[in-house]
Amino acid sequence: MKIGVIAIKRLVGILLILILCTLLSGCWNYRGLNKLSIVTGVAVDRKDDNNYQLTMETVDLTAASKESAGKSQIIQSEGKTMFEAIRNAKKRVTKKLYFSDMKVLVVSNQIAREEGIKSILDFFMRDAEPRETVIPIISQEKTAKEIFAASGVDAKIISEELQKMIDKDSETTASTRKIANYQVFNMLQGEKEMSLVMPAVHLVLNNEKKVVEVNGIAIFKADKLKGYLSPEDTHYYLFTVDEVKGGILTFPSNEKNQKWYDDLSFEIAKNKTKRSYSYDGNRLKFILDIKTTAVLDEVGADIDVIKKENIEKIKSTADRVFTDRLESVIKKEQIEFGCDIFGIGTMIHKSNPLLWSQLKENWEYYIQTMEVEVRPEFLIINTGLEK
Amino acid sequence: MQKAMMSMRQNICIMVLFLVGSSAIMGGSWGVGQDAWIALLIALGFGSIIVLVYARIIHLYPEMDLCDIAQAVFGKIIGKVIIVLMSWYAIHLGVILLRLLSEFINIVALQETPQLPMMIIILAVTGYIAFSGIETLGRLAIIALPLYLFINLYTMTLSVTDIKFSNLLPIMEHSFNALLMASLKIFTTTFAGTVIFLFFADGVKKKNNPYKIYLYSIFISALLLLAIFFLSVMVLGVPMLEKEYFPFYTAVRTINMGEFLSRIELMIFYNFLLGSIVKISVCLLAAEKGLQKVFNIKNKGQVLAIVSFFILIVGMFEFDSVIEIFNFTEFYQYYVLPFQIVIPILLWIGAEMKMGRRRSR
Repeated sequence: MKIGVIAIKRLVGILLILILCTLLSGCWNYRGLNKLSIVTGVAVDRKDDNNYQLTMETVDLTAASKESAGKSQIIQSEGKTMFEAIRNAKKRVTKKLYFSDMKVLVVSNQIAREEGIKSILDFFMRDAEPRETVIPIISQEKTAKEIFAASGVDAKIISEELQKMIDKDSETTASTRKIANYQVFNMLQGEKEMSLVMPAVHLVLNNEKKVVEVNGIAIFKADKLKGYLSPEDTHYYLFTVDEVKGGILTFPSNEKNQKWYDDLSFEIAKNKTKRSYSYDGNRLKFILDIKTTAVLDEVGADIDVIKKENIEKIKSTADRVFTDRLESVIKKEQIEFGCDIFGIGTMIHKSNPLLWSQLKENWEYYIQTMEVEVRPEFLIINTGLEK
Repeated sequence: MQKAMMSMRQNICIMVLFLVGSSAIMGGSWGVGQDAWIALLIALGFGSIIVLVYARIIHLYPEMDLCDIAQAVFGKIIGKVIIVLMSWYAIHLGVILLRLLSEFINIVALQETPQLPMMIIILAVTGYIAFSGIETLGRLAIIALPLYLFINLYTMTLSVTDIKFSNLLPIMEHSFNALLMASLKIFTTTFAGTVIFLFFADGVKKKNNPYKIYLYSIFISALLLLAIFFLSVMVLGVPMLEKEYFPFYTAVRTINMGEFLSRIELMIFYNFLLGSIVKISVCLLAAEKGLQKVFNIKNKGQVLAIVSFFILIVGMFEFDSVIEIFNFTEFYQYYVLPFQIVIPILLWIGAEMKMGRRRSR
């Protein structure tokens, strides 16, 4: 080929590359970071008969500096459905709301009691932006938006603080249970063997300011809220589902002479619960083998803990008191709610599907008449620096 | 024109990428929940059998592609009919893949970008790959497959903390009938799709063993598909697995290690893009080869342009939405059986008879 033709071909090629690069590099969907409002948490309330009211906590990145993670802003909007309410927010803000960083979803207990949370959760699962790992929470206050109006003790962004509190909770106080959106969906759909539990929060006065505090779990029947378990009861409940990684148990040092300031504190280092069941044709029996490794970190009474018989006495008291308390929590749950929050249905379904299909129609009856056998075993590994 | 010859490794890499390409984001919603791995193994069993048929055809007529074999066995006229049918199969597969890819990008990432420009760009890339020939595709596959595997392995290792083995129980909860139906779906959408490689049989060197190529590819991709399925079901749980359009993608979205290692799903997105591009290029190449032989067109660029344009138009109008694509798979598993089973078996029987006659002479 002649040199002229080659040169023209090369020139056309280079021109095409330049044009294509400029045309294809921006895209239809370009959104600059300064035009986004990053939503970290959403609170859902009912406004009047037809409308939801959404309160969204967003992070304002322009104020971000090395010390603070940015200020949080509150945006409120209303609408008949979740998506409509979110779109209506656009009437008040210039920036586009960006949900991929959303961490928590706070639902007011009124909505959870009356209509159930399934319809609310659907948008956050279906839309591609919010992630499936959002943590849904029930607000025990009158509305959900009060949670965002509180001031956090540590951070300025409440959603982040809530998420971190619930995340780390099982290792520290074991007073609530973390659950992600997709796990909620699994429990509400499918075989419906297990009843849903969600973390519950409320506001509490801390040094003249209202702060958020995690307060046990909320118990659901299908997708409607039924009631709550207090943080102490939740701690025992977590033993039944083998989700205890830490926490403090307090026991009286002397069962007869129970002065509350003489109590002992066990700090749980490790816990393993073996769950099993037995069915005798009429009633279910739930058997728990609990092995707890604990550190005796506070001894209120004047006991010499290095003496072997003292340790044995402490252990046996702990065993008895623990069994009593755990059984009373389970019994209370059975009578008050009658929901299978312990996951026994799931256990039966996975190990013996035939038995499950037999029992599942009257499952509530079986839960309410269930017997419980607790076999605790405490192992005290050390008692701190003192004898 | 020099014939393009490919090494065994290139063949295997292209085939594996073809087989797992679109499963990079799917991974498991075939209607049988946690028992899908059993259905996968059943499909693997049937797949191995049909693949032996394909390999036997190649073995009987070494270094000849489907067009030449069809004409040698059945004569010019019926042979050309077979070529047109198989080319149509390749074109339709290309349409579905193209549409699925652009819908996925639309749903997940670029929600406001219209699909027509996306499809044009994808077709431009795949068209260029097809224009460069199967040899180039082979070289691309050798580099692309390890990358694909690495990304998969990386995301799987990261989600290991979230998996729950109990999601796989109870085993065999679904009836054997349901498992067979699911395995038919898996068989027709993945393993039997390798019939398209009969178009490239002239790239297989005579000394290479076609049985090895097919069987290696099938087993490697089955392993990958199993891994993707196991991860999806163990992370997500069965109700989520059935409800999501793209289960593996959703499973990877839940990875959140150390609070900063998240949004890994973009890598899976990239995997899907890569796999789909290879798959569409294969379909384009197959259709181009077939139509070139049938209509005796010398300029392969012309054929490619026509085929690409056709795929674009059909892709825009065949489906109204993602829902229709997913519903179409119910029909597709039966519609595709003549191309994947009937025609190859006819070819095989014809080839055996011809060979037998030749030997007895």
